[in-house]
Amino acid sequence: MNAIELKDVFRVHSTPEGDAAALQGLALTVREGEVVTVLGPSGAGKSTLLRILAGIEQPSAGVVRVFGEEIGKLSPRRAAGYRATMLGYVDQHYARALAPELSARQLVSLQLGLRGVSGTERLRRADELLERVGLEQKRDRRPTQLSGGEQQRVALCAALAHGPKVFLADEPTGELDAATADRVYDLIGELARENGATTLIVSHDPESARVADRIVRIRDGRVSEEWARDDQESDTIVVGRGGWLRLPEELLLRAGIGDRAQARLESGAVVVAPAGEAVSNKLLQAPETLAPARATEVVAAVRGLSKRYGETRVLDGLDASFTGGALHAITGPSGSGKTTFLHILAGLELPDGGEVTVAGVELTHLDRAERAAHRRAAIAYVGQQAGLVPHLSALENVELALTLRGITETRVPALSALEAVGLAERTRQRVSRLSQGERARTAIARAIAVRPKLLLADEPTSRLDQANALAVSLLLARLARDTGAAVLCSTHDPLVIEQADDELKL
Amino acid sequence: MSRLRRILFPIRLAAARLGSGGGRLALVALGIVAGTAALGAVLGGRLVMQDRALAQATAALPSGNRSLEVAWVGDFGPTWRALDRQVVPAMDKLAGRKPIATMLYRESQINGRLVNLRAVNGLAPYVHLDAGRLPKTCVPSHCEVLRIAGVGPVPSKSTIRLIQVGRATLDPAAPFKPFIQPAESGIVSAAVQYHTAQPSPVLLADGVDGLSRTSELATFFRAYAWFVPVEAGDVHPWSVGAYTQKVDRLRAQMSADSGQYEVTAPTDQLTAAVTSSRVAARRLLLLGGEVGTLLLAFTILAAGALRREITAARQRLAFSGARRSQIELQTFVETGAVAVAATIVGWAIGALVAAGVASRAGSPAWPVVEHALLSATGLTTAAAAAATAAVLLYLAVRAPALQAGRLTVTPLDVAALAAIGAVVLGYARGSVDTQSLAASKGTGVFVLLVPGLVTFAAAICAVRLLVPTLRALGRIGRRGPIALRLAVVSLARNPGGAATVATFLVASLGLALFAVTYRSTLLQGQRDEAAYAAPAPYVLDENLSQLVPVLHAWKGGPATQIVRLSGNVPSSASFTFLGVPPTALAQTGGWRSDFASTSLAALAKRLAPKTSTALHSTALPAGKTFALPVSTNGDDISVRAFFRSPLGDFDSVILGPTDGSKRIVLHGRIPFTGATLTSLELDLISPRLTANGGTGTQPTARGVLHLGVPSVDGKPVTNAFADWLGVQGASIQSTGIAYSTTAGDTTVIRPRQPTDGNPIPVLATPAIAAAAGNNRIVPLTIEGEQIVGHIVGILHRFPSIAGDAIIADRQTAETALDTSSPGLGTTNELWVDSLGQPAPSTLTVISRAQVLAGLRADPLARGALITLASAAALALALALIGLLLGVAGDRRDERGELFDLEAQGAAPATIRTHLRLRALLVACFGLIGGAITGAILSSLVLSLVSVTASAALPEPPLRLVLDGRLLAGAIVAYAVLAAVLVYAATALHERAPARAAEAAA
Repeated sequence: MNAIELKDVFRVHSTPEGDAAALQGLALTVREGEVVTVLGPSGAGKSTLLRILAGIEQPSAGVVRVFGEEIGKLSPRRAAGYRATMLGYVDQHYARALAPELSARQLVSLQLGLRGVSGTERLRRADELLERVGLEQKRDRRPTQLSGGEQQRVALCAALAHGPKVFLADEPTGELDAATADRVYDLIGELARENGATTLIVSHDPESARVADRIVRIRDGRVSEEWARDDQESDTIVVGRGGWLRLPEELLLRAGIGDRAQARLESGAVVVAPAGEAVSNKLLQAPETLAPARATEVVAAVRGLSKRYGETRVLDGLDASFTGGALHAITGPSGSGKTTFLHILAGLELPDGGEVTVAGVELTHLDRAERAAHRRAAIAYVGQQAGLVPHLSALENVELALTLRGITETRVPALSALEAVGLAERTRQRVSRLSQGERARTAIARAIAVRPKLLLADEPTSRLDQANALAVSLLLARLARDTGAAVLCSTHDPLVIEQADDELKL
Repeated sequence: MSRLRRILFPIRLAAARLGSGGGRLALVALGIVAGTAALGAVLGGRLVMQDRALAQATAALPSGNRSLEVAWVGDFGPTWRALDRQVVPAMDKLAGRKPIATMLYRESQINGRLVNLRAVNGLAPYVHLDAGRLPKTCVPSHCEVLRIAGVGPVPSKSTIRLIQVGRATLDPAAPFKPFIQPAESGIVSAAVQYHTAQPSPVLLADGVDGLSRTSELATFFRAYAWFVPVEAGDVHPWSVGAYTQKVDRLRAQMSADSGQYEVTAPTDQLTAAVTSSRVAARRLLLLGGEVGTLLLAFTILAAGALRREITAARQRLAFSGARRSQIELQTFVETGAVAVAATIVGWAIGALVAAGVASRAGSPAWPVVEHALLSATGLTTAAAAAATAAVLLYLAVRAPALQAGRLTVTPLDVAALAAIGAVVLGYARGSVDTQSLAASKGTGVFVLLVPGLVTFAAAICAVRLLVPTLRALGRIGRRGPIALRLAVVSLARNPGGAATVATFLVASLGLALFAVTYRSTLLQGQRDEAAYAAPAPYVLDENLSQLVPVLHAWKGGPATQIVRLSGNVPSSASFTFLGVPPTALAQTGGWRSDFASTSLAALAKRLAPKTSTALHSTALPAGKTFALPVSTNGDDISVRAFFRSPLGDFDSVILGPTDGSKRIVLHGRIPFTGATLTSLELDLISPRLTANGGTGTQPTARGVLHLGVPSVDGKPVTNAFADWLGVQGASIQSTGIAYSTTAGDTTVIRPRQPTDGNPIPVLATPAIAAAAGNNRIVPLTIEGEQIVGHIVGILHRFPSIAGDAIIADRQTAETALDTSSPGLGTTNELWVDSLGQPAPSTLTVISRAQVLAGLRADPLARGALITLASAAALALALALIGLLLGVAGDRRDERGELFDLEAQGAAPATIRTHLRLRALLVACFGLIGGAITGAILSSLVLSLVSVTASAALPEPPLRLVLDGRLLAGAIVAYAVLAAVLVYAATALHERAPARAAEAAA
């Protein structure tokens, strides 16, 4: 029996900056008791999928059924009842998910309390679960008195205490170190199976697949691939009902397939080719057409770099160097310290130990103002949030950034940068009216306009569809080669990793 | 059971959240605590003000009216001891003090001599010995007495042996003084001293019992009286009703015991004083409304900072499957508990403040707290404050973030329009004066709501104007410094937080400005009132108990002579007539430009006569006796001469009757040194007055009077009657003076006067001017005499005059009035700048400084002014906190943008400047909005509540005054403090910028 069934689910978010589709016709079924891991890059729609399954959000279109109940049509009262009885939910940000004023015992028994279960019964259940995850000695502690892993274990117990039939976990190890993350995944697998809960785990982390019966990958709000845990061959494209086959945008673009295609059978395989003339995208150049990166001088280097937040060690004795004219991918699961590493290279954070040299300057010896001055001179940073001013045009945004760096003549470099990212025709357009991809490119234009020696981009393809993600990753690779800058991208996205000259795994 | 547990579980959760430490709620709680404490303090202070005002009014009562008095009057009846046994316990029970027993006998005759016998128990404290010693307790066989008045020997007899042991004066404050020794006014004393026999002695014994038991006077009419003085502070505003009831019960009890008892107490006066002080208390509602508005605004502002945390808690519950009702219950219990707890703490602090204020002011602390804060009304107010705070807090943390930029009509806009409508409607109903405040039929609620309604409407307007203003600034500042551009851009991008802070600043600064302006206005009102009451530093009037003309009594330096009389016009509208020299008129103190559309100098110029208007009279040589040879052809008449002193007062002397054609010389004593002769009056000889006899005919006298050359002490007065004329039945002819006089007429011959046939120029108030004809000529009846005025200017009011006024040149008026009725135009008031010496006791002195001091000492006024100052300080302090909250909110909510800015290379200094410019822009917006709100509120309140600081009808009307120096000081203080605090809050001491994400990744 299917416990979870999603058919052609769309979810459009309305924002002041325009509408954005998080899910675009997603279809997925999960059998009762099955444990499924959902992989995908940032912005692919994973969290939206979980929020819809949890009844927190309503789908814009499509059908979502959980144990036969159509979730999208539940009244708020019934949705609350559904969450209280059927659902267990664990969030990536356990610190936010756990009420700081309650003890571990109270947190685990919270959902039972809301259902009116007696105090004795709910505390008994809480103690049982806490003992199961090895926290019986710490049951009276509040979240702030527990480590990250302990907090996530408490969150896990709290989500399962009332015996939910469906268990949803959104990046459950996103803020944990690797060892703790492994233990949490094991616990999820064990507890979910013990409780017979149908489980959906959303993650960037391939390790999460360890405990899954099945793995699906979503991209652009759709399921793009799926495979069983033991399958040796991945990249299985999902064939929809009625034989619908959704080819990844990347394949279509690379094959030059626009809005028409021809399919033919060749040697037992279906070959899909463009119908008529192949479509070209000037931003899309095949990687092999790019000149290989020239080995140039080291622009940035770290030695013995370490950084910790509280009890979590994020970076530990890291040594790395990055040459100019190359695209460097910084990869690793959530919580591995990718963003922190970029911040340290940008001088926005200071390490606990080690040396950081950028463009010949040792950053750890500089104060905040000196680091800002060095950043103005040599470093550009593109954050996960574009940081653009929506009611200013793309050109004004770039000019504002140039002015901020003390550059008085802003018009020419701003226009050049926008042209370089393919936005020459959209310079006067307000940012709020640009698409997500255009905004990402505007943010990159803002960074390259200052001609930095080091360009740092944090998940530059998150929230972009596959085509835009590919375009942006190619753009960054080309910019590295054209300008001689060292371009560092923290990313989960295979498309970026594919374009990178090298990869640093954290 | 499960259902009940499910319902109650959110309450347990709320308790757990609160129990985990309420630091996050501290600011909200602080706002509520401050607001309710201020509200409680206002309520307590209001009662203290009332109590002090009542105490002052009690102290101001004449001593004779300031006692609870039980009197028994009669001749035969129970013994004094029996009466005393009835009265003393009853009075003791009512007043809590033993009464002072007194008695008196009606003027009695002992041994053929008249005597007034009185007795008091425990005499010593109430007399000042002038001679001798205090008497011993009186017994009939040896009754020592003090003489307190009267002359003549003290009678004595074997049955009552009276021994005078001294002379004494009764203490004026003795509560029984009016009973024992009724006062006579100076006028009466002066009038009767030559017409009655010498008063019999008034003797005062110590001991009522002894005096009452004498057999000699056993059948004499006597009165017993028991007094309990009502001291300032004995009766309080909260106990006046109970006191009155007790007095009524005592009266009923005494009447039941004996019909000869009479019970009196100053209950009416006390009730009137409480009613008067209640007016001031009701006006304080306005200030209470201001404090309440501040409280609400601050609660909303501070709750905004909580919204994020509470929203997160609500989301956690929603993820956990809590029903909406459970989530709402938890939020409401949490916010409600904070509101209730903070209100209780605030109320307790308010009670402490009220107790402190009461102790300092001399009122009993606990009863003030009990009746102001712990009474049913007080507790209801506290409950309402808590409920309002709880609901607002709940709504504020639940409300979505402010969408300031949307051009849609929201419920808030509709509510703001409704608020404006309510204020306009209230305004249209008319101003709230002393009477309506006292009646308080709905007025109080409206007055209470005015600050809130106006501030709310202003706040919504501010929100609506903020975004367009920021966008306009953004366009203007496009080429400005980068920090300014960033500040404007960031504000325009996310105006919600800034709008909340700016709105709060508009409200708090507006209310602060209102408090400062209203206080300045009331203070200026006091100065205006004092100057209006006394147009010169000192105003001297005739003391009616002395009857000495002012010019005779005044021996000091230069003084402006004034004639002040009353009169009316044919339409019956009455007025005060004031004769003022034009030169002095132009400098009249207390004049305000809003009293007339023309300047006072220009008006004075219109009154100034072009030629002399001094009274014409016949100069007489020095001497004492005036002689006038007369004869008549016709009926005999009586001749009376009018003399005028150099100081301008008049006296008449009857020279005597004519004796037919026989030429006789009439004589009269000239009453003044240096006198002049102003007129001769021809009267009927008195026997003819009775000749009417019901026939309808009038007694008349006709004939021709021949006057010889008058002389003074034999010195002839030549040309004495040159240019004289006859009026009202007299005419001067070549043959003599033809007269025809009746009983109803006053036939006069006098010199021709400059005012004859010429209306005198006057300034008039509109109501009087309305009675004038087309040519602006108006007949004026002044003290029964008619003169004609020509209105040359209109004024709405004039200092020292309540109601309608006629102002004229004193000299001209004096001539016209003295011509009509000699002496009527005599100066009866002086305006002087400096007394130079102690003022003569024969004059009544009004000192402007003393009037002002009296106004300022009034507890009601002081309370109102202190409360206003406190409200202003509170509003300014909250405005500072609001600005700080805004900066803290910027740093918290704009963390992502600030991080991005720094990531783009912005130096910390640029970010600091950016943050400070944001704060400056918001503060400037708040300041401008606050100034406009304060101005609107001030003028509106001034129009609505037309009462002075002392809660009296303002005379002259209050005028909006801005104390520039105080305001500048407040602005500078606020700016400096704000700059220091904002500087400290944006110092960016951290080594690295704060990350936007909450957790490291």
